[in-house]
Amino acid sequence: MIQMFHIYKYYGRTHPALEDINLKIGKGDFIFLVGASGAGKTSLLKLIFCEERSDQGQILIGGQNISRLKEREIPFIRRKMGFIFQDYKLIQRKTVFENVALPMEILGASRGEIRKRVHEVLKLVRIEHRHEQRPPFLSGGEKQRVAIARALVNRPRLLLADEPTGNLDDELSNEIVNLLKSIHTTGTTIIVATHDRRLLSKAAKRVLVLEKGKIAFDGIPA
Amino acid sequence: MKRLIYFFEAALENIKLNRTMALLSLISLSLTLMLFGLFLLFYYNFQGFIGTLRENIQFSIYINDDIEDGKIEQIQERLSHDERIASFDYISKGKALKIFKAYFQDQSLLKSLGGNPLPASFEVHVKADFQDPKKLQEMIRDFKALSGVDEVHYGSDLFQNLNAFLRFLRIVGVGIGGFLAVAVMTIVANTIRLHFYNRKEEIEIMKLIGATHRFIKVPFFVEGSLMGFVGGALATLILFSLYSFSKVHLQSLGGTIGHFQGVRFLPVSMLVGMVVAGGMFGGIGSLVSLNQLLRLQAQSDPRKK
Repeated sequence: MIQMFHIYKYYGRTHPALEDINLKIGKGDFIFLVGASGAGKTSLLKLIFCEERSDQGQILIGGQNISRLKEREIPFIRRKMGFIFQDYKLIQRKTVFENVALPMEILGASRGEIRKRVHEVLKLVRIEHRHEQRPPFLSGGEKQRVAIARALVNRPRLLLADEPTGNLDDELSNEIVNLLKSIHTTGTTIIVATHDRRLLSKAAKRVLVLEKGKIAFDGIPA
Repeated sequence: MKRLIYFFEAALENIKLNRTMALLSLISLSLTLMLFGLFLLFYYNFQGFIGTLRENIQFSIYINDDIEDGKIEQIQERLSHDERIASFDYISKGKALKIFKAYFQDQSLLKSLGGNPLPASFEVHVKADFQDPKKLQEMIRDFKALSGVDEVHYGSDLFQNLNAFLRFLRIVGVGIGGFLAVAVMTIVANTIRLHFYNRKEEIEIMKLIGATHRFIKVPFFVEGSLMGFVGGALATLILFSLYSFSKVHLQSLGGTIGHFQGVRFLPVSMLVGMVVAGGMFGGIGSLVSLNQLLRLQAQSDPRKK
């Protein structure tokens, strides 16, 4: 699904944020990307999501080299992925329903399809009862569920999550991890960046540990 | 179709979200387009006036007092066979005096001259196809050369000056039109720019979830075009109200101002043209602004760093 060859990413001229990253992620994998703040987790996700460009190296997603994509091709790659942002990135003036419907509007889906699918994913993330509410009136956990619903609505083959439990208490974190695990059972490849090592014990999945921009560990922890 | 509905709804939502700004822009747009409408109204009526003058083009062929017998019939014969002439009337010396007396009540001037100083003449009406200043000059030359003709007179200078003025108005019209088109585009471009900045964060989010530039641009384009259309429609409404108001109130004043009664309102084709032009320039203005904004946004994209 994803292959990375000798990836380097610099911010300024100081130490690289990512240094010589070589990685293979298979279809249907569930991976935790862990490391301290500034270890390069978000940078790695942003490279996959085409939000940033690597300074060196190649990234292949589904056989397509995304390192040298043209500007106008990026939206089409992003449509195949779902991204759960750390700060949710919800449109404040739109309702929960409208926020989740937006990726489908972008694809040009019909009203009927949108209505059906949006209610389906809202039900899946258990936030359907709040579909007419706007983000400012939602709790952190509810916002995160909406963000997950939006990332899932177009049935992406790849789901990326940046600190999805970062702002949530233990109970809500568990719920979100369980939700991601259930999404994984549908065959979706999932990469979760987190600094919260407690999550690892809850999932027992492949873990990639990043330290100062380098892969320090890649495997299933004992 | 479903895309169109989405874009239209998004455009209306944009306007609703920024309703104060949209309203102010709409007022500016309407007034700008109305100014152009006023110019069009003036041009249209002036053109009509010149057209009426053309229809009434006539010239006078004055006959020598000492013309030989039979020569008048010869001239009459010549005129009746001339394909350029629509009709003509012969005004004898006696008839000319009668007309003069009818016009001027004070005949002391005529008495002081003694006898009848007025010449006989032919009043000639020219066919529409030959009412071109060049062709008229040619005709005058021809008739001046006829034996027994003293002078040929027609208000050529006035007619030529009016034609030149009409040409000048046309050029001024293109200038004013161009200037106001730029004004319309600038108003819309600025409004769209402000709306875009108000929604900058949303646009960023939309791009992150796979929206293309086109998907982001179209609602703004629809918004700009809509504003132009509505601005054009409002301008025609204001113009018509002004016209109707002036017609009713100036007519009662009489005199020169009272002649406003004869001023015609713009034809439907011109009004539709004004509304369509408003929409078109609104759309162009919004596209210019959006291309600039998205280019700027792309330059600040972290991928480019």
